[in-house]
Amino acid sequence: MEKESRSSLSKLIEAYDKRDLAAIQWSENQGQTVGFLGSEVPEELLIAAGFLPIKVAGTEKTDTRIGSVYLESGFDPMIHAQFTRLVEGSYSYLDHLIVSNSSDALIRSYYYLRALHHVEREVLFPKPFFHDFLHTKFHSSALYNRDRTKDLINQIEVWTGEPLREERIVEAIKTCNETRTLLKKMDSFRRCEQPRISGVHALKIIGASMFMEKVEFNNLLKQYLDKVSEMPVIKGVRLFVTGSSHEHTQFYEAIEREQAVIVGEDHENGSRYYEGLVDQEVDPIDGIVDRYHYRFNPSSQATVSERVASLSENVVAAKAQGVISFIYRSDDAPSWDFPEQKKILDKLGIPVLLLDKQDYKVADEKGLRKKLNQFIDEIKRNSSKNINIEGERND
Amino acid sequence: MTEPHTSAKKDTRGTQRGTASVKRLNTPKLATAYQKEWFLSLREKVEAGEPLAFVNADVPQEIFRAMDIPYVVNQWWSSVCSAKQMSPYYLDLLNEHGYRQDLCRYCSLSLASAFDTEPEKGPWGGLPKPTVAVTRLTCDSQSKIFELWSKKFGVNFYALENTVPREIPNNWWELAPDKWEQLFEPHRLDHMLEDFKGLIRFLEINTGKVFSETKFKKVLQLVNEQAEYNRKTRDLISKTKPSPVSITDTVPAVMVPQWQRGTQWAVDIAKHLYEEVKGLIEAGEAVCKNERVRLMWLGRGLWFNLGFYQHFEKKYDASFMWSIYLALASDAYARYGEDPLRTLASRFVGMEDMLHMPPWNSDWYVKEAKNNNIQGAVHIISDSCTMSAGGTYFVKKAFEEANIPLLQLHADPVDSRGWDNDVMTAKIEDFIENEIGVKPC
Repeated sequence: MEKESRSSLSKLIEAYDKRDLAAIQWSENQGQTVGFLGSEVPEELLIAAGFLPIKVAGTEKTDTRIGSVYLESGFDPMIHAQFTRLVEGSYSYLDHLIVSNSSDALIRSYYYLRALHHVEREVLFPKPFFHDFLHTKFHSSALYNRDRTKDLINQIEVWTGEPLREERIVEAIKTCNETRTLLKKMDSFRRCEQPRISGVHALKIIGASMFMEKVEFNNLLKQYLDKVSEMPVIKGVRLFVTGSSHEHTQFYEAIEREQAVIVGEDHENGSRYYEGLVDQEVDPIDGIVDRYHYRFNPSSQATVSERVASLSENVVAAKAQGVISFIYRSDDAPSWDFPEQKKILDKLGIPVLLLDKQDYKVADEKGLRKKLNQFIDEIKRNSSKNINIEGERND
Repeated sequence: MTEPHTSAKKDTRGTQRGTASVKRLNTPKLATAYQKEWFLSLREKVEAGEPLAFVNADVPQEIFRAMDIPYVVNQWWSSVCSAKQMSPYYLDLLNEHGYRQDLCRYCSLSLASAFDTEPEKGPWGGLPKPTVAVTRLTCDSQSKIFELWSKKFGVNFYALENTVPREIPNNWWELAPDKWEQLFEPHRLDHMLEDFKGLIRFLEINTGKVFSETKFKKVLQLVNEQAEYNRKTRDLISKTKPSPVSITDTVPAVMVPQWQRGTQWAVDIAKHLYEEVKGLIEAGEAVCKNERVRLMWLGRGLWFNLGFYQHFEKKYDASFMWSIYLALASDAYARYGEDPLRTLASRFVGMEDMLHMPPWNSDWYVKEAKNNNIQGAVHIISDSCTMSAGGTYFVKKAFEEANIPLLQLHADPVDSRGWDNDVMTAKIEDFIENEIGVKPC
């Protein structure tokens, strides 16, 4: 049984590690693929149209210097990596590309991608379509978001040459909600007293759902979850990761090599991806817009107090013993959050390690390991009276 | 009387201080004298119980004017603190409170000044306590800075949204004044209109002031008159060789009244600038009588070091005669339309595109370079601000295609702590000598 579960896990991990594979196969079978950048692009609508939505992402092998020719040094390195993969031609198989406004650097990248189509003779990615989705919770924003979602549907219909039928949208909502529900269930095996899924595996599983066909993903994840309770408990200090987002696992691996387990995170390649379901009882467009609008915002679109509230809530729910705020260089939003977040964590008695101005790839593995070691050792020392790091409470 | 803060501490640490510019015109002297008087009277009004709004530069100040709500513009206050050589002191305070040094400083200098335990030692007695704060979400830092700032003072803040265009217009500057319904997508204008209505209601509730439609129409008319004078001044300068003025003259003469727009004083000072420039031309006066190089300064002004530009006048007969400030005041502000609030929305909805987004900005820069017979452009890029770089690659490419040499420099416009005057001077000298081909006089 454990073997079967591992087999489904291997397939999910393969989808994550070979993140273009499913899309290339889909293209070879005459299907249309749509790349998306930003966390507001409703995958439901793309799936309903028969497309394969694929998140545009860098990898730990991406040479970000290529993107840096076009982008500003003030943009965070993850955007440089994503942009690099687009301009170097890694996504030349895409039929369409959609960008949304998850961050200022991403919005500007959209202008730059579009400008490249305007000024260069040859570009290796499709002309980008912008999905303008506002984040303030005002009623005017909710109405604007509905209209822009209808614009997106119109664009999809232009791409397919046929109307997008409501029953297809309803079906796609059901599929995507199932993905979210399954990922939430997976999350419970991380947050529980005796975690059985590592942060590295969780990040890969969540990521895999963005790189492969959803029904297939759901089947694999179901198989994995059916048996996960039989997996061994992962021992180590329970840590929560906040700050910048992670689209490769180098940093997670570095943490979990040090007798620690990541029991949660709040970035958009982590738990934010599956936060909240689309209401299946209401008009499908209303349901989709509300789900993407009313989730907790990423740091780039949230106020400091919103981020303080969501962090403290998530950290407590995950029973984390410590928090690591990992922030890329030039990723200003989480840096503005950090001083106030630290104050609340201090009040809660939860230690926090700030790793600021980080590169896209772990640059100084030895130095990072030393910092992580010191932090984890300190937590062990301070919590030894109450908590056994083997995962069992003494009190 | 309290002793004002100085940046002497910075000098002992070896940080390069800037120098003030030598003013050739009377208009900037009038403008800077007025702004001090205005600020002192504003302090008195606020101390007497009047509300005060603290707003970002891209917020529709015309609404506040129509409601008789005094306001201070975030970036204006930054420029004042910086020109008074106080940015190192304030920014150190921000860093001491846990905010890293290379965060955006142009928009956070005011927040930094709010950490001062002796605010009365700030420029002209410091910023009075505001009633409300209003910003626009044009970058990730805006909501952070304004929320932190408003919490510091215990006041409410309002965030205007920012929408993104899908269309790329040709020659936006030709469409902006009268054909803005063609220039901007209707849904963007519709949304901004709704957002402005929300802002007006927020201000009515939080300040007790009333929005006067009659006064609002008058404000819009005055802003257009001011913009028309700015356009005439820009056109005069662009076609006159040698240039009668440099940006050290025009930046304060344009930007002080820009933050006072919608007043008769702002129109009068814009007219005064035009007439003074015209008079200089008629008298044959010039920045460099033997002008050999006409230069553009792309991006924000070096607020702590406005005297910097004058070195090149003396050494090369090179005049920095173009900046975004007069040019944008000429091309981006005038708006004519039937519906006053929608007309105002058309002034702001694309401001960020025009200034910072390629190809809107790069096309406009090149148009201006050609109209002004520019021989070289210096582009200042602030790494801590995602906005300000404005498509470095595309600006460079546009200038290459226009055969106009371009130098791109990385520096912060308000934080003098990282500024090395000798290095920056050497880079521009090298550019003038080796890229433009002009040797010292």
